Parts: sequence; C-alpha cells; structure tokens
Amino acid sequence: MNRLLPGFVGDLHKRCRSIQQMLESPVTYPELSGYVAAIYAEAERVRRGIQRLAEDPDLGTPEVASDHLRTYKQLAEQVYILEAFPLPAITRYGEKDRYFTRLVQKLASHVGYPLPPPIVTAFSSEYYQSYPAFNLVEVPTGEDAFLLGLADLGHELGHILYRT
Amino acid sequence: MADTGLLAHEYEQSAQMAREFTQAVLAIKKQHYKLPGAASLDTQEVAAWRRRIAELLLALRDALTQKGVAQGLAEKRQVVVPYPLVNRIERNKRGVLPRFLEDIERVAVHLRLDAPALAERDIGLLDEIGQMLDAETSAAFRKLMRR
Repeated sequence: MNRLLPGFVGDLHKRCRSIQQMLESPVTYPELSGYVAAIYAEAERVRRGIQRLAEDPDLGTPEVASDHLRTYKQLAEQVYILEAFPLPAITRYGEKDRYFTRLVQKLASHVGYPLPPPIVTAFSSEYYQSYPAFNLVEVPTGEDAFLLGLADLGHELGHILYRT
Repeated sequence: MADTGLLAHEYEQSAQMAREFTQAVLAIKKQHYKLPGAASLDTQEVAAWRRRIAELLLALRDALTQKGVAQGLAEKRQVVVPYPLVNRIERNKRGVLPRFLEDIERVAVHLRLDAPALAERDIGLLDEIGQMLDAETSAAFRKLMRR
C-alpha cells in the first residue's frame, strides 16, 4: 500500500484538476457566476490538500502510513462529493433551474434572508431537498408547473440557514 | 429535508471530526517518531493540535459516559461528537469500556501536559480511535453516495 499510495494521490490530483477545468468554462447564466467561483475555491482547497499529501516527505513511511491512507480517503471523498452534488448542478444548469433559482432569490430578498440565496436544480429524485454544505436545493423536474409545493422552497431555505 | 440532505449532514459531521483528528494525529506522530517531515512543523502548532486532540478525547469520554448531558458538555468544549461514532465505540468496546475510558483520560492528560514523549500505547489508542472514526465516516459516505 505504501508504494501504491503516491500513485493514487497523483490520480486524485488529476481528478480534482479536471473538476476545476470544468468550472473554468465561461458561465452562461450570470446568477451562477458567484456559485461557480465558490465551488472552484472549494475544489482548490481540496487540491491543495492533495498536493500537500503528495509532497509530504514522510509519505511511504510505515509509522504514519495509516494516517496518510486516511488523509487520502478523506480527500477522495471530498472530490467525489464535489463531483456528485455541486458539479452536476453547474454543468447541467438550464432554464428550469434558472426559473427556480430566480424565484428563490426573490423570496430571499422579500424575507430578508441573511445568506447568499442557494442555487436550485430541477432534477431531484427525492422531492425537495437541500445540501447546506454546498448552498444547493434540489426540486422535482416538473415542479415549475405547480404552485402547492413551492412553500417547500422556503422550508429548504430554513434548513440551510439552520445548518450554516 | 429529504433523507439525502440528512445523510449529507451526518456525513459532514463525522468527516469534519475525522479530518481534524487525522491531521492532528499525523503531526503528533511525525514529532513522536522524529520523522523528516517533523522539521517543517511549527512547535506551537503541534502544541495546539495536542490540546485540541485532548479536547476531542474528553468530549468523546463525556459522550460515552453521560449520554444525556453529553451534548451540553460537547458544546462547552466546542466539539461535536457524532452519535454514530459513540454507538460504534460502545459496540466495539462492550465489556472493556471502563478500561477504554481510563485510557482516553490518560492520553488526554499526556497530551494536555505537553509531555515531550507519548508512550507507544498512547499512540496505539490514537490509532484505534482514528480507525473507528474512519470506519464511521466511510459508512456515512457510502450511505450518502448510494442514495
């Protein structure tokens, strides 16, 4: 494992850079630009962690091998979570998402919401849900044709406020 | 919030503690084993890590011994001990929990005293807690990604 770990770390660094390269593409929707910058900064924080691990002079030393392996796993989880939650929300952002994001922005402004309003994606498979760590709300795809579920948007804002 | 949001929260709570614990134990072990990387460590920073790990250990002890009031104690220590971790330790240490709690206290005292050398069994305990924390975080991560 000690000999394999530097290779895994190098691969993880490439994966994190690949996420950053996707985020470097020009942003079509202006309301997304601040969010993309925040996720890019998070990816950069993770990339620096990977680089620190790669450059650690004790990498491969048996006394700290388990700690390095754990550090690697923790960094890998952060990369996979970026890939699974905020990245698809950004790369697949479209008109439906824009409708909900703008609606939330209006709602947030009307109620004096004290945080930056979240980005909303309309491809949830689990009704309304939020990811406070990424300031992200998911709603069902067809929800823009209905009114009754919209109160749940406010509910999700409450979750983000509570967890932040 | 649907299940996934809760899973994400559970994962984040556990992962945050695991990251902090791993980083601190790595620094402490580098110094303990006098590894080449220890040269670039700031002595005051390592001392701060030692105090922080001592706080984490004592919060863990509180959570294991006084479940009902542990939340208040943990808040006082500014440490959030994830309940799944407490449950895992209780399962793993069934029958030897009192001894385990004594070990936690002993290591916390050594870390707080800034004693220059930790005993090898102190390092062993830190490794063991790191393993359990890692197992709990991995379980939460798998649940989240299988949503």
